[in-house]
Amino acid sequence: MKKRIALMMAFVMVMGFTACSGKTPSAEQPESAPAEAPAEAEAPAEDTESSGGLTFAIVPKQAGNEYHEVIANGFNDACKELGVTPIVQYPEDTSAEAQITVINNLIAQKVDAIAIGANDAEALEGTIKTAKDQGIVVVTFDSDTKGSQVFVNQTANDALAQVLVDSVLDMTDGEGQFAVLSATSTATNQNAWIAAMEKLIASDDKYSKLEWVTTVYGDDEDQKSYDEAESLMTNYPDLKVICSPTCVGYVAACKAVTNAGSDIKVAGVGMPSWSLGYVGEGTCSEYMYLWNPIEIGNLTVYTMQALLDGDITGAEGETYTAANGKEYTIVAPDESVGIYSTQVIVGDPFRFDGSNIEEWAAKF
Amino acid sequence: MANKSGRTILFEKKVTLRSVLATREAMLILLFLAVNLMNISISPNYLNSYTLFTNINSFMVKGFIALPMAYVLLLGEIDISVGSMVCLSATILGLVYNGTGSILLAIFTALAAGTLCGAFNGLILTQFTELASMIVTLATMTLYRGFSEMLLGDKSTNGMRNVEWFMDIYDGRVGHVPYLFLMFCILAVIFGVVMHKTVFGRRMYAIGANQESARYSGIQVQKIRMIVFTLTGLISGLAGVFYCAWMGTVKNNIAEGYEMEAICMCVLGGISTDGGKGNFPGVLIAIFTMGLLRYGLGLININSEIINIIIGMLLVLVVMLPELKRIFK
Repeated sequence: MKKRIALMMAFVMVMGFTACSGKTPSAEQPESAPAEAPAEAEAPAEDTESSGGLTFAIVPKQAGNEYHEVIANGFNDACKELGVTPIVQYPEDTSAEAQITVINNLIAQKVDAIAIGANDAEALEGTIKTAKDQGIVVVTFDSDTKGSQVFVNQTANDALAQVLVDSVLDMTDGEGQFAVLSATSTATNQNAWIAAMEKLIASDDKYSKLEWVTTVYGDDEDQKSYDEAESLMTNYPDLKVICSPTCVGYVAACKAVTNAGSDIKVAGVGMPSWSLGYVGEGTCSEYMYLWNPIEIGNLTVYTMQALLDGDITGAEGETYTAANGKEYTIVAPDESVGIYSTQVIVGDPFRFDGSNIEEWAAKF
Repeated sequence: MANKSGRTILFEKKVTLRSVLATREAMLILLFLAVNLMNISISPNYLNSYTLFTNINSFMVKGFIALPMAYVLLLGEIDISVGSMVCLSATILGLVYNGTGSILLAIFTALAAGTLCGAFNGLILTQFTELASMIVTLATMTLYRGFSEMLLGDKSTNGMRNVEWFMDIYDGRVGHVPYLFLMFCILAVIFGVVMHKTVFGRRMYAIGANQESARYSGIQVQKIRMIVFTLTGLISGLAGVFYCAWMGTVKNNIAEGYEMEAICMCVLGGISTDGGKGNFPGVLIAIFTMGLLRYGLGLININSEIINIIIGMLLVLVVMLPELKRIFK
């Protein structure tokens, strides 16, 4: 008897959990629901939805990555602006498998559009196809994967490669060894930038004295990135610069270099709020670059809306005016750097240094 | 304790409704029904058979590993190298396919690699019987993943999904029912029959209950341990093949934590980690209970961390239940 009572208690507990957590996604009731998407007209009402409005979901790369959290915030804000119900679902870890589980759940809920920060360029293709077959709009942001309709690219690869290589050139004083500390080895965006950097260095003589010793992967985990930065310092005593095109890697390298008291410089892209104290005169990194992650989240939503409304189909050369009033043009994919889908570019990389870092750190 | 060795004991146990309800299986079935009822009530989308099977497919790969894991636990052993064996065989499949262009050869090599890994575990454990399987498989877990890391480095191997029939192993369906699910059912029946209806199965129970007395009664304990560990390797290799058909791309960090998921499924299903206790149907129900609970909670957008907490609590509760029963009696 007692056992059955205990069992009942377990159910009550589980039910309790589901009940209180279940409320969060539908907390906001959109007032001005936009026009119903034609493909979804006969779809039954969804449990996560409060009205007949649209539901947009975002699947970032991993939980606990503040950079992706800021993108998700931008996503939420833009959804509210358009009267769309947002769902933010983080995968359990950085594997493609975890993302597939989450995407499958979203497909089952019949959301109208899914945005993915892909953890793998290939593995998600089948799942994305299933989603599109059911009339769901699929876009990617941050890093692309095969099968997506449009990739919301944070910045043009060449533009970023240019500022990264120039930072390295500047910080090495024109010659010497540098190493790259990346995220995961399969992260499409990282590989795209690294490929663009390689192309750029080979193309111009002024970079000929730079020696790219190695590329290591910190998997966008704090500890692993820190360890990789430390072993770079040990393995290459003549190393002058660590270039990290990922926010987690960048701040980990800054910490490792500063803690070791080394005079190695760190170049790369970083989040202002994390990198506070490491950027500016007399530190390991005089300046760094980033784009605005909030804008990535915003533009992702605007692009999904444009696709749903039929303003664009995702074909190269189409233009649309986003809800923020700016006009965007869809440009060609670039498979050589891992961009398989047509892309829309958020903006140019922005330089942060001692003069503006504090101002931006307050924002993201 | 009538069933501990699988022999029929010659006195009649009184079968009442209460005693039936108190069995582990009855509890599991209740739990399974409760999870499904909960899922149906929280989401109208749950019963869509197409998406339901899509999600069943996504925990099926782990489910396959739980089958031989039940045997391992029944013997009173444990194998925590299964995740690494999945990873290594998937790695080898990818590399052989990209090297030779033959997916059949790749599948065969992957299965062979899994079997060899399992046999290696078995060999160490049967030659050095004083070593605990926990320690040995902990070592080989690192070893096998190390091989995979060495072979792949930081790169991934991919392209397997270009072969259509290979892709269909995971994607293909009869109506709404995936091939993978059907294969699982067939294999599950075979595993269940072997465990409950054959001499081999009874011997496993005997070894799990008491290895020494099993040995004195003439059971070739080491031979059976060897077979079970090798079999675990083979099925892990098979899971590696399915993983490739699913993802089409392999990195050195795939299938991490599969060992714990498989052990969880077995323990939830009532297989005692001490060995000698448990029924196979329980494991099957547990696999689906865990998988569907995860799916249902995911459907209402509960974070994966919270889902883990709920499943963890459930597991603690289930393993505590026999103790609670003893205390309250």
